[in-house]
Amino acid sequence: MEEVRGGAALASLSADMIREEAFTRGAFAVGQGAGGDFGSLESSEKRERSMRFAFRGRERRDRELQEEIQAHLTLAEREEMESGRTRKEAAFAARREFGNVTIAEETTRDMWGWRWLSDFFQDLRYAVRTFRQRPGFATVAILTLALGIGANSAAFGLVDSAFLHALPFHEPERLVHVWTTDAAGDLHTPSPAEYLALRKTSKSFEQVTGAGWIRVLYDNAQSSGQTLLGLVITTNWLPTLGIKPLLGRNFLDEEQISGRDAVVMLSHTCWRTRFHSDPNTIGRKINLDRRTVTIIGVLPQSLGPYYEDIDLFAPLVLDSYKENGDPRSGRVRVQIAARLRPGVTFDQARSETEVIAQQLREHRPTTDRSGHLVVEDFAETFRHPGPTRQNAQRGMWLTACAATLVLLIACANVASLLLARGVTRCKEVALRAALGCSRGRMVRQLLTESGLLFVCGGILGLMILQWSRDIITNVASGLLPGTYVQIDARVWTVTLGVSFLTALFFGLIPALLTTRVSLNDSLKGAAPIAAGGSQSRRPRNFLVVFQIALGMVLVVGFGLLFHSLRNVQSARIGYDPRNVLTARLRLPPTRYTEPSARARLMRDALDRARLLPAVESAGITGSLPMFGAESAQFKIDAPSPNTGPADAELYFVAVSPEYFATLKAPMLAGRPFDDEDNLTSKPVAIVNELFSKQYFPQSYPVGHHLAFADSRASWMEIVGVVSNFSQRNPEEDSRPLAYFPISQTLPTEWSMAVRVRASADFASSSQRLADWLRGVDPQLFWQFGSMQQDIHDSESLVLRRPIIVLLASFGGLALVLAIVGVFGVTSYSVSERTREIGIRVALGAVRVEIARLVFRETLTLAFAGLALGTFAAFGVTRFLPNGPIGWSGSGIFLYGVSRTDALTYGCAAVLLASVAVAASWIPAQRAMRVDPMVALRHE
Amino acid sequence: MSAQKGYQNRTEILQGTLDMLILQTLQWAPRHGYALSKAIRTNSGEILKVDTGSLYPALHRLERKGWIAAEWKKSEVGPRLRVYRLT
Repeated sequence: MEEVRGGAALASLSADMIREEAFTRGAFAVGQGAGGDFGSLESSEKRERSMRFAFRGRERRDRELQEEIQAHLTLAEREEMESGRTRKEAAFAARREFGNVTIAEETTRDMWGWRWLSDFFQDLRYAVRTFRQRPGFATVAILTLALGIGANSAAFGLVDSAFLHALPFHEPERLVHVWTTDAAGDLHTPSPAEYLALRKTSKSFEQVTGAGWIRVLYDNAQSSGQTLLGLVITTNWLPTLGIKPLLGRNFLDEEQISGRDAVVMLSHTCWRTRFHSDPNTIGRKINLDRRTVTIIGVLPQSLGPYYEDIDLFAPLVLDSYKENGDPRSGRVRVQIAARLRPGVTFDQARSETEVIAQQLREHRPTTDRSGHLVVEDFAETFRHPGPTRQNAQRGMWLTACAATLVLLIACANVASLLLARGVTRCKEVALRAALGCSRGRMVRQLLTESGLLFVCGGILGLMILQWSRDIITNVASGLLPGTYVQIDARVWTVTLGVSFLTALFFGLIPALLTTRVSLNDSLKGAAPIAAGGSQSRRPRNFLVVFQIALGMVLVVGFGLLFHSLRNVQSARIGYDPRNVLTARLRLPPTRYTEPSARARLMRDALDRARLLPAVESAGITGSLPMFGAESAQFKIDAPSPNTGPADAELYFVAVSPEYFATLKAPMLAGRPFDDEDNLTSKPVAIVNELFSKQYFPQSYPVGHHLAFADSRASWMEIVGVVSNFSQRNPEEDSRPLAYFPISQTLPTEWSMAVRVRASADFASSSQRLADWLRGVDPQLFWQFGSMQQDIHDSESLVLRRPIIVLLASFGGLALVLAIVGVFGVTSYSVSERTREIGIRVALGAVRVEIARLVFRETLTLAFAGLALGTFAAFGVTRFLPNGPIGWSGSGIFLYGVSRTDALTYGCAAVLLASVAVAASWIPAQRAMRVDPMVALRHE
Repeated sequence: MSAQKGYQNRTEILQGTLDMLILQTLQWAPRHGYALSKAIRTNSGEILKVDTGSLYPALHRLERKGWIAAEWKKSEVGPRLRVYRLT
């Protein structure tokens, strides 16, 4: 058909190709087109009309055309009859003169246009019919693709919500943050006074909002006392950012008055995890900080990634906030977000805030760099996340890459299936080619078929994703809080786009190979499997090798990270966390303001704890291990070449005398603190081993001094050296640490570590301890836990676990797909070689040899795949950082394993090889059971 | 042999030429397809023989472009005919 049309495009006046086409081309010739009596219509109207007529008038046009041509033939026949022939002869002559009626009809129909559309629908109908005939093939292909594309869409959805999505705020380019500066000139969260001044006097902002952080105690029936992080916000905070509550309502202005502020809004994560997305949460009353508050709203999910740790939102009551607010960095802060008035530029806003700042700073000298107000683009804060979040983001990218690998494996599987199918359609293809179907047309039809498969797979994948959305969101939130999966327009677009692209790419090669037939061989009836098989065998084998290689990369990646996780879990932390209870306390700001009162409280608590018979030892610290430490600038009088004292930034923790003993962290030199070191005595300090090595490499730190960098700070004498132990993460690099007696610092927030005897029952002891300690002061609120739980909840492990889970699921998927792929290829190969096997058996081969034949082929492919995969894994694992971790949670850093860890690679290779062997088990059985008599007659 | 000679005598002429021939022939009078092919043959003095496999597609193409219009006319002889005329 195409050839003739090509000829007609040149419109030769000679029909040099007269094909006697069978008039049974119903399967091929259903071409429809647009027709239309246009007269002198404009071309756009013409096109619209032709579209409409394409679908309504086509039957009529077809009939009319046939009638027209029939009329022509009748007239020609009559003329022939006039020249004296019989009716029959005349009819033949007329027909011969005319040429090929059907081709003329077809070509005319082409002129009507919209040929490609009618072809497409024809192909689509044919494809559906074919798949209905072979449902097994279609099901396997669609399921495989659903898994691959679905996994990919899930990864995209997560990455989209975490990074790519536009900010969920209304016109974010008009939003700003206003920061203040501290003494060093660094940006700092402003003070309440600055916020009030800005709100009262600023003219360049149409709205000025404030937000502060609080920590509240949430009491409910199940869990006694969890600390939740909350944001106290002004009433205009939500409207300024342009966020509407998902459920319920925003705060009212009157709720910002102390006493009337017993209302709270939940973040989406809090609503999902703690209240199980119950739509009736609005109006419920909960217990916060020993107060009953009503839930009046729930915020949408899109806010999640930006305010990730926040569980609650409460009204900002400025007066009480100033007194009770969470003392981060020692002073109460209000974060200012504001919206520029329309028409005001950044520079105008900057100059105005500078003027306001100057008014506030009045009496401060110009050398004091604090107190300047800085206007910054709102999105800037989200562009520079801290190291923990950065690592979590990297973990998310890692997951996305794993999902892509799974997709590639799935597509390779389907391409393999298409190739195998193509071989069986050899005869059909040859017949169509003989009838004049051009290769391009057939390739188009095969692409339509594969396109249908891929798109159905994509849609099914989205359905599976929708069904498993909650599970995925839960796991992903563990890694990067606030991320979620939502099937919105972007996810749909990406899914369909991926479907089409992969359909094109992975369907093209089978299509091209299938249509490459030599007409003679195929039509003569040579065994179609033998004829076409060898052609498609090599590509199929390559696809299997490709799949195994990708599977290897995934398994190796998973193995390395899993190994790292196990290493971190058993890392040397320097202390013994078993059987140690923890009790954390935050003193309310209004009580225990006197240092002596605080000292007495600590003593009472320790005494009480020690009274319990099961308690072995107890100590107090300002910051437990796994909770980090504060840092400051210090001066050290180290015996270094230069005469002056060394400057260093050090981390420090306040501890009680028996703390190190409770932790079983041994003292290496000097003495621990004792009860003599209190407020009145000489200031002392203990340092850790690394400090000693770093600043006193040759000598002995005990007896030397260090002091805070403030000029008026007094020198503290170093009285002892303790061994290194982890303070922030099990896998952290040790840092030089200084310890001070807690009786000299007396912080308002401290924790107690209580070691219980190994012989005692841990659970009941912790219960008894809780009761006892509450007796010290019933109004105080303690949070109880254990050191092992703290390690379990440390940043490191919290980040690593979701990554492992995600990689494991993708790796599992990849293995399943690889099994299916290898199974398919092997069973096909066996059925191809049935004749050969039959001959071998007839010539005396034993069954075991036949099986060995099959396995040898599989293992060859597997080894090729493993070799390729090993190289690929070497390249890919370069993106897993191997270096020093610092203090923050790392997630994807390798710990204790090298990138080329032989054990991991070896296990992965063995796993994949066994998977390949297992997949070819059934085909091997089938091969062994081949009956030579049947096989030799098999065609 | 003669078939080949006959072959060589036929010339391949481009698409536009056929269109021009049709339009020119229709200039004189509106005709239906069969009459048109006969007229072209006659007017060219039996030199040009229109391949009907190209005639009808050309007619429909011209109709689609709007240069000619068609309508069904009842003929006395028998089948109804589709007559084309210039617009």
